[in-house]
Amino acid sequence: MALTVGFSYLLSKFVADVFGGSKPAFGLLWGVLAVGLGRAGLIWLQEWLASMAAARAKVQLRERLMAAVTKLGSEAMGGRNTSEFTLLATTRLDALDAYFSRFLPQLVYTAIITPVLTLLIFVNDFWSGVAVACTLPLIPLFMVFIGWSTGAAQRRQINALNLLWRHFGEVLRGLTTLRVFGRLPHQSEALRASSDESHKRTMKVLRISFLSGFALEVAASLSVALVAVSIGLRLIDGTLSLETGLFVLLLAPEAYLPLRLVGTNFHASNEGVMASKQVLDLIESADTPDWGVEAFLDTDELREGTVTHLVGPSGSGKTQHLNVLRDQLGAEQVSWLPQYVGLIRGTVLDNIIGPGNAADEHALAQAMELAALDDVALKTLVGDSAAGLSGGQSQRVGLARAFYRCLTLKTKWLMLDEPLSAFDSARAETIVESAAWFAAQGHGVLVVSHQPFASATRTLEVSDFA
Amino acid sequence: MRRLIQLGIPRGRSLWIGLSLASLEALAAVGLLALSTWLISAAAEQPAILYLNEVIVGVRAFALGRAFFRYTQRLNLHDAIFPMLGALRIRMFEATAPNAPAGLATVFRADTSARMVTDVDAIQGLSLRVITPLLQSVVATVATVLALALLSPTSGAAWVLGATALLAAMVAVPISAAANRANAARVVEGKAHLNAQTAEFLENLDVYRAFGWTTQPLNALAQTDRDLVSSSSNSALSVGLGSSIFSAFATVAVVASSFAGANAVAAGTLDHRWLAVVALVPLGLFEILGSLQQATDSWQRYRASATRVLEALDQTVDPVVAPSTGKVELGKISTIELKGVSLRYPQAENLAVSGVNATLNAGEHIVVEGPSGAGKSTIAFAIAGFLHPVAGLVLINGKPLDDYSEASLRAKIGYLEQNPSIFDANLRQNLLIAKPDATDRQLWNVVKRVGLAETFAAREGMDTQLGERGNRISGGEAQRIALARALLAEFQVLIFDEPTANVDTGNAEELWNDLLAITSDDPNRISIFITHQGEFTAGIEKRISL
Repeated sequence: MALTVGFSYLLSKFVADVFGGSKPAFGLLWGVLAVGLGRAGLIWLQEWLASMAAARAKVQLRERLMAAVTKLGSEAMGGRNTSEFTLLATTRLDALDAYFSRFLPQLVYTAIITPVLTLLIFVNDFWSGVAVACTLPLIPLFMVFIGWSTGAAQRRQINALNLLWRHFGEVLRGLTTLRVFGRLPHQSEALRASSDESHKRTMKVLRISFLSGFALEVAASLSVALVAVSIGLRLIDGTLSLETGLFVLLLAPEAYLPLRLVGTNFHASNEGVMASKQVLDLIESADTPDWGVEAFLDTDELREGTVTHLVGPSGSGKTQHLNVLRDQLGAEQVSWLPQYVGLIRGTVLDNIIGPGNAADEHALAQAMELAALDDVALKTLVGDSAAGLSGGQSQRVGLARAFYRCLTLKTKWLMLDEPLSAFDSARAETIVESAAWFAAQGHGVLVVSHQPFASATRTLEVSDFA
Repeated sequence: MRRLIQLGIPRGRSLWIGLSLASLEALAAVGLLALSTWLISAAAEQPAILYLNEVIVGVRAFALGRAFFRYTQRLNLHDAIFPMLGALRIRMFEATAPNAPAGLATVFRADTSARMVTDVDAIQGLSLRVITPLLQSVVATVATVLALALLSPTSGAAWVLGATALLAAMVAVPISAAANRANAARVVEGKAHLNAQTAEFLENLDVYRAFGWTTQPLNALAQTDRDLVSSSSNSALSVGLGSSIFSAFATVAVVASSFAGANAVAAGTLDHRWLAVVALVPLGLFEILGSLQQATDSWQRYRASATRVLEALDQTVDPVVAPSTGKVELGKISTIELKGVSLRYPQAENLAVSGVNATLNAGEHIVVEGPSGAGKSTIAFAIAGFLHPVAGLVLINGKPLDDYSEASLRAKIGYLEQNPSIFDANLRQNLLIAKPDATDRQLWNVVKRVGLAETFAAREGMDTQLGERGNRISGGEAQRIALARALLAEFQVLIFDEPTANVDTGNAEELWNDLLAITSDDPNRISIFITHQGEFTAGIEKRISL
């Protein structure tokens, strides 16, 4: 900042000297050169520091967000679709960059430089100082008005963007259904409509923020023009020296510019601020202790070392019941086969032992044998939604995954939700025997199924627990 | 390279209007500085106020003009760009879609969606942040140099300024471009990875948690994020280096042209009122030239994103899953024949099934049975025309399936997935996929036929939200909704792929009985059941065993 002032001062002095007819003081030009180069170096440093600060804050926030979601599970997404949540955690949080690297430094910079520059103008030329001091407050006033009108438009834009992402996510997930019903050609149209809607909303926000930029520019231009005209008129009177006039004229726009940039950067960063608010709310909710336990089941009847056949209520109620049961038994003490197997992208091996884990070869071979997983190579690639495996195969990979966990971590409980729904009878028999084997090893095996389960020693109604 | 550039250039009048306005903005910016400095100098001579008034009006006009051009320029450019982005997304979708369902294992959904959303968004960088600043720099430089040359032809100030500007661009741009090349691409790819990794993690969150596997994906995510930060900050360093070089050259230009101007005033070839203009205009020019620096960075990011978009557009669909290109309209089906059919999945080395023979006639129920992994779904894909045989033929009414148009095949043959796709929307929207013009009355009729009328009447009727991946309904309800869709679409052929795989066993028998009853409604219907649960289909005689 001092360099900006020095640069302006030296340059105007040089020009004024020549103008006044004195011999050009070329020594001043060396001063201008030195100060200007110093300023160039500072620009570099400033950009780098700002980007570092922004990045660090964002990474921390993102890490905490993912940790919170991991702690709370998918329900923590608060009714948001996976695509929406991904958008929030990535692109929308990225907008925070502008807040940390542009808005905040600019605000601090402005808070320091604008008063100092105004003071300098006052000292040099009282009337210009008055003009600047009177017109400066107009800019923040403008900004407040504009901020009000942008807020609502920006929220609508984010909603449209969320919808667009959801649409893409859903369409990619449901490609098969869409093709079966001959809807692929129509889907292009629907996507175009979503895209257009999102663009329309974005244009609306842009229009407001451009307009606000325009308004700020107009306000600043008029203010500078006011100063320029007053200087010009007083130069005619001869009440002001050219040197002072030039110096003040060079400084005046510098006094407005930071404030204007605060306004411009406010728009750019507002989206990130809105996103971070949502993220912080979520992180906070993860710190709230008794989250989500809605029901309490009586688990006294469950015994280790036996195969218990659980008969659940049909429909979606059952899954919720089982989730509560799992939480109560201690999720870390349960090896689980969910009804929707839920395989991850990677190899079959990744899906059994977990990505990036070292295999316990002995347990792995045993788990595969117990799960009758005899027709799939470990290096087979599994795509999204278990693409590449048949329904039965993916269920048996899920069984091998639960068995492997039970074998290596010696979990107290092995919980199998509809383990036989996709099997031929020979393999189903293997699974029934495997359940008995695990019980014999001392694990408590809980099988949820409506079908009779031969190795079960007793049957309990899940609804009886509630 | 030509394709790479063409990809990001929008068509239409708005682009040209926008670019013209951008040039005017640059001219106004230079004019503003020149005229306002001149005003001060001239005023010092205390001429008549009337004479100065014209100049004052001019200064105001330039200031407002600059702001106005900037505003209209941006609106016009965005107007040109947005439809282009929408069209690009649709082209990418159309390049991916034909893979469904048999080629889906080759599609990485999270990555595809990151390309469609994030990378396509970055495409606007070319016109907004590369072409526009480039154009403005050229226009401003030419205008300034010409103006100075006219003003003071002998002082050399014009040539000094022109040369400095050119030199600045030639030094700063290549240096920071070289420093930034790898980083800009890494930033773009890092963002896409972060996006895809996050989506994948969230999609399988419950499994990762249940098995205690969250550490590895979370660490991978954090690593990607940290890498992204370091490439971003390296990139910022390179860009900052360029900005500093420009700023240094700006100082040099100011000093040099002040020097040349002062000499000219001393020599009497330049009116002393113009010295301030000669000394200060370079500052304004370099403010505009500074944007070239960002333009270099933007170009490199654009190139990385555009490459990823082109990759997605250029992906070829394996011919075995490509939709039929036949022209014949398929009418009523009387027979479907499989003759020595062998099938292979895209990118697979081995055949999934080989040498299957079968004949299906109108009005028949057929069971496809076999152990898990034997290729039952694969046969279904072949009958529906989703997977073309590598050997043998699928004939419909005696003609190869490929002779029929994709649209007519879709209208006649329905396939019900093992895990039906339920969209995150309400029941009505989920059903209308099958028949967009159906009335609520028709929808309720079909919902009644599949035995869901009471269930949904008790909830919020057609407005009941089904949840993401149908997580607010049970597996059996999902299957019945899928059946309702198939009935709405009035397919003649219905293929059920393990319809009870995700249904509680107690409800499975009931569902089977309903399926068998509902599919017997039409004497021409061909119903194909893929199952391992022989007990429910015992009454069906015709079987294909794998």
